Amino acid sequence: MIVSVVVAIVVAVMFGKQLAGPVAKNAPRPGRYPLLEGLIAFAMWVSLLVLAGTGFLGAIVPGHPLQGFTTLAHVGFGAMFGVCFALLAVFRAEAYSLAGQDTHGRFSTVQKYCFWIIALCGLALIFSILSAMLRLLGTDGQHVATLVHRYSALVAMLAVIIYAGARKRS
Amino acid sequence: MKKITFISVSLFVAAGMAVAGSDDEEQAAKKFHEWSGSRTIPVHRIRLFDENSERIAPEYKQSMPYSSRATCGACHDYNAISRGWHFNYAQKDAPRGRAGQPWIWYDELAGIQLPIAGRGWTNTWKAADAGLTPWKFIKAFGRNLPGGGPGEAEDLSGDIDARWDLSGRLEVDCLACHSASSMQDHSEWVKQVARENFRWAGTAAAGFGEVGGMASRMPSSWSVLQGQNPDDNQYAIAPNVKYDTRQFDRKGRALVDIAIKPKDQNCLFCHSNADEGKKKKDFDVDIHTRAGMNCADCHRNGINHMISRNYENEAEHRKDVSVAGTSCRGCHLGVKGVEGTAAMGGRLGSPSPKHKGIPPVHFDKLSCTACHSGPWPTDNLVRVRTARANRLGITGVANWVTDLPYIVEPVFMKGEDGKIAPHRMVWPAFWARQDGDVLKPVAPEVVTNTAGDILSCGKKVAQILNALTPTNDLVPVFVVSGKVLCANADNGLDVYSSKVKGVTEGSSWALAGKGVLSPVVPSVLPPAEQQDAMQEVSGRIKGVLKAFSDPAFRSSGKPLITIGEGLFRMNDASGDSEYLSFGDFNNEAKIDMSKLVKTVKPGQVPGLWWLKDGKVEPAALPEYVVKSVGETAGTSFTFTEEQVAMVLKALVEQEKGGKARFVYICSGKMFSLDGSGRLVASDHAAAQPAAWPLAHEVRPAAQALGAKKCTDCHSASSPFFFGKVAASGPMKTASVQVKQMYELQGQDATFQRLFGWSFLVRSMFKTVMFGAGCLIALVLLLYGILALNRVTKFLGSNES
Repeated sequence: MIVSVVVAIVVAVMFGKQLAGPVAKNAPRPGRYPLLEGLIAFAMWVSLLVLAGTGFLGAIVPGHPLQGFTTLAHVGFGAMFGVCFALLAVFRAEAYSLAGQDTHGRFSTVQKYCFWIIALCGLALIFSILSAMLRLLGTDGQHVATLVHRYSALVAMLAVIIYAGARKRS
Repeated sequence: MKKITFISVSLFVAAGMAVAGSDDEEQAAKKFHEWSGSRTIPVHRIRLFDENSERIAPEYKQSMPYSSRATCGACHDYNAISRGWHFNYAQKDAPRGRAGQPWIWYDELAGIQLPIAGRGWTNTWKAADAGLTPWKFIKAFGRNLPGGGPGEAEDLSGDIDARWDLSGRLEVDCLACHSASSMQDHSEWVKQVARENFRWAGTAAAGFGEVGGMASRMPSSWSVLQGQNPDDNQYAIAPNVKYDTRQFDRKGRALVDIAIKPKDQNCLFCHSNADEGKKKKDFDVDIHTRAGMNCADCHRNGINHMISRNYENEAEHRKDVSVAGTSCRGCHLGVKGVEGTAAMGGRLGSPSPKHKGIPPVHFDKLSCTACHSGPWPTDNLVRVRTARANRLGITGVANWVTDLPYIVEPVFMKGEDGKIAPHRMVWPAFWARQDGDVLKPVAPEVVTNTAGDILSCGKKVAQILNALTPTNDLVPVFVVSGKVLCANADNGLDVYSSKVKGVTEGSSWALAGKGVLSPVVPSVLPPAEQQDAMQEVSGRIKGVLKAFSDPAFRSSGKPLITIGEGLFRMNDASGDSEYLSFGDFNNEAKIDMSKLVKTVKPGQVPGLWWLKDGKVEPAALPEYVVKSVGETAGTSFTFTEEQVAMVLKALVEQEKGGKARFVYICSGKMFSLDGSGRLVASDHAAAQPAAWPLAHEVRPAAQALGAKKCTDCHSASSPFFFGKVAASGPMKTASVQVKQMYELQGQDATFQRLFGWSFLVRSMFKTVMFGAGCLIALVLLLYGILALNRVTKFLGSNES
C-alpha cells in the first residue's frame, strides 16, 4: 500500500505535465482556471495510481489480496478519485467533447474517447461500490456489484493507459 | 480316528450354526432398519429382558433390571448404535470432528478443572493421560452419559478401585433419548450412577420400577447373584428393583412409549446452557424451536447413530455429503454441486437470507453463528453454566448445581475452519508433576491428602460457625476484611449481609442480628444483681465453650474464655461452664499463666484460648486461613497464591528425595516455586484454554450482529474485536492471562481501530461519493443529449 502511494506520487510528479495537458510550444488555450484544474488533475492522477496499485496488486501478486490497510487506502483514495474525476469532468467536458468543433484542441480524438470511456467506467465504479455499501443488494447483488466494479476498473485502466500513451494534438 | 473325525465334524457344524446364528441376528436387525415407508411409530408393547437375556417377570421380587442390549438389541443393531457419536468417544479410532464441549473433571477443594476429551481436541486431555480410568471416568461423568462407551467396554486399566462386578455395566440407555414417556426421569439415572447402580440405572430412569439399595455401600465380595444382604437392611442394602406391575400386561409385556425422533427435553437434559444470572422468564428459546422445530429435525442420524452436528465442513470431515444439507448454510442456502431437493436450500421452510448491505467477505471470514448465535458481545465475557459441566437439571433434595467450573462466552475467535465464530472457553486448572516440558496431572485425592487443611480454610471457619449454635435470632458470623460471613448448609461460607453495622477491619467472631454485630461473649460480666443479663451471658459462654469442645477441635485442646481477671471453662463432670479467677486456675492447673495474664487485662475484650499439654495458647486461626477466607469468601475463587505455594512445597516434601518439581496450572499461567520458595508465574502450552464453538441459541435475524448497523462490530472500541478475554481459575492471583478478541481472531488491532473510526465518516463518504457519481452522471447525460442532438440533426437533414 505504501509502495503504491509512493509510486503514484513519483509517477504523478515525473509525468504529471504530460498527463495533465498540453506540452507543445504552441499549446492550445487551457481552461478558465488552469491552476485549479491542474491541481485537481494532479490529485486525480495520484489517486488513480494508488487505486490501480492497491486494486490490481491483489490480482497480480499472489498473497497481496485487497484487505486490511490496502482496503483502507483503496477506499480513501477511491473517494478522492471520485470527487476529483467528477470535478475534472465538469472542467474538461467541453474540451473532451466529441460534438461540434474541437473547442480548444487540447486533446487528441483517442484521448477524448478514452475520457468518455473512463467517465462511464467511473460512474459504474462509484455506483457499484456505493450500492454495495447501502442496504440495497443481497449477497448475489453484492457479488454482481463486485464484478461490475472489478471489470469497470479493468476497462478504465486500459482506457487510462491508452489515454496516457496517445499522442497529443500539436 | 473316528473320534477325531466326529469331533471335527461337530465343531464344523457348531461353527456353521454360530455363523448362521449371527447372520440371522444381522438379518433380523437389518429388517427393522430398512424403512418400510410408513411414517407411523410402531407401538412398543414388548417383553423386557435382563442382561442374561432372561425374560423379566415383573411380579418376581428378585427380578434383575432390564437390559437395553438384550431388550432393544433383540430387534435393533445394538453394536452399530453403540459406535454412534454419543458412545464412540473413547474408541481408539474415534472420529475427531470439530471441537465440542469437553468433559470437565472438576474438584473444588483441590482446585482442579481439567478439560477431558477422547477425540484429541485442542487443549484437552485424554482421560487416560489425566489419570482417569474407565471406572473413574464413568463415576465422574456417567451422570450425563447415555451409557455405552467405557461404561460397557472391557476395562483394561487394571484400576484396583473399579467395582464393575458389583455395579454392572452402564449399557447404552436407549430410552434416555428415545423415551416419549413423561415418566422418564434423568435425575433418577444420575442418582443411580452416583450409587454405582449402573446396571439398574436405565430401569430406574425409565420408571419401570423402583430401585433401592446402593452398590457403592456393598462389600467388594458381594455379587448380584447373591441377592439381598440378610445381615443388613439399614445401610449396606444391595441394589434391587421392584417393578411397577401396573405397567405390564398379563403376558408380562410393558408398553414402552418410544419417540423415534428424541424429544427436545431428552436432549436438553445434557445440552442445556444458561448465562449466569439470567432469569428463566427472560430466556428466549432458539429461533428454530420458536418456529416449531425440534433438535432432531436438524441433528439427524441413521441406525449408526452418527448424529449430524451441522457445522459447515462436517460433510468434509465425515466424507458424507448428505449431512451438508442440514448445516445452517445447507438448509437455508443449499449445497453447491449436489442434486436433489434436500440440497436446494429452503429446507423445512427455512427462509433464504438476503443479507442486504453485508459485503460477501463476511461470509468468507465469519461463521453463520458469529452474527446469529449466543449472547451479544460485551466488554466482559459472560459466565455460562452448562448442564454437563455444572450439573444443571438434576432434581432432588440435594443441590447438584455447581458454580464451577467457570466457563465463559462468547469468545469471538478463529475456529478450526479458519472462520471467526463465537466460542465457549474454559481455562484448565490442575496440579502437575513437571518433567522437562511435560506435565503429568496429579490426582485430586493426592492433592487433598497432601495439602491437609491448607486448602480447606473456608471449611474450617464454617465448621466453627456451625459449632456456634445460633441463639435468640443471632447468627454466628466471622468478620474478616470488612466481610460478614456465615456458614451455609454445605459447610461452606456465604456473605451474611452487606448491611451490618459494626463491621471492622481485621478478623473476629461475632453474632449478627437485626443489622448489628455483637461480640460472641461480652467484654465484662454484668453485675451479679442483674440476673437476667447474667443468665444470658452465662448461656452464651456455655454455648461457645460447648461449640469449641466439639470433637472436631479436640486436637487443639480445651477451650477457655477469659473475661476480666478470670476465665470460663467447661466442667467435664457437670457439663456446665464454670468461672475461675486466674489465681485459682493457676493453682489447680499448675501451668504457666504469665503469657495469658500478660495479654489479658481487666476490661479487655475477652479472648478464646486453648489449654493443651499444660500450655495456654491463643485460639486464633492461622494467618493464612484468615487471609484466604478474607480474600476468597463470596467470590468465585477458592484459594490464594500463599496456599498454592504451601501445597506445592508439601507436594515436593511428600516425594521421596524431594527433588520432583510440581506446578499449578491456573488462569492461563503455570505457577511454580522459584529457588527462594516464592510463587512465580510463567507461560506454558498446557495452560492454554480449551474452546469450542457455540451454535445455540440462534437469535432472530433482526437481532443478528450488524442487522441494524455496521458499528455493532466496526467501531474503535467494539467488544467484537476489543472485548477482553481474561482467564479465570480457582486461585486469586494478579498473574492472569488476558487477551483481546482480535488477538484470537488473528486480526490487526490498529487496522480494526482505523476501520472502526472510518465508520464515523462513512455517511459523509457515501454522500460525497453519491454527489460525485451524480455529477459525472449529469455530465455524461448532458453530453449524451448533445451527442443525440447531433445524431438527430444529422439523420433529420440531408445537408452534407
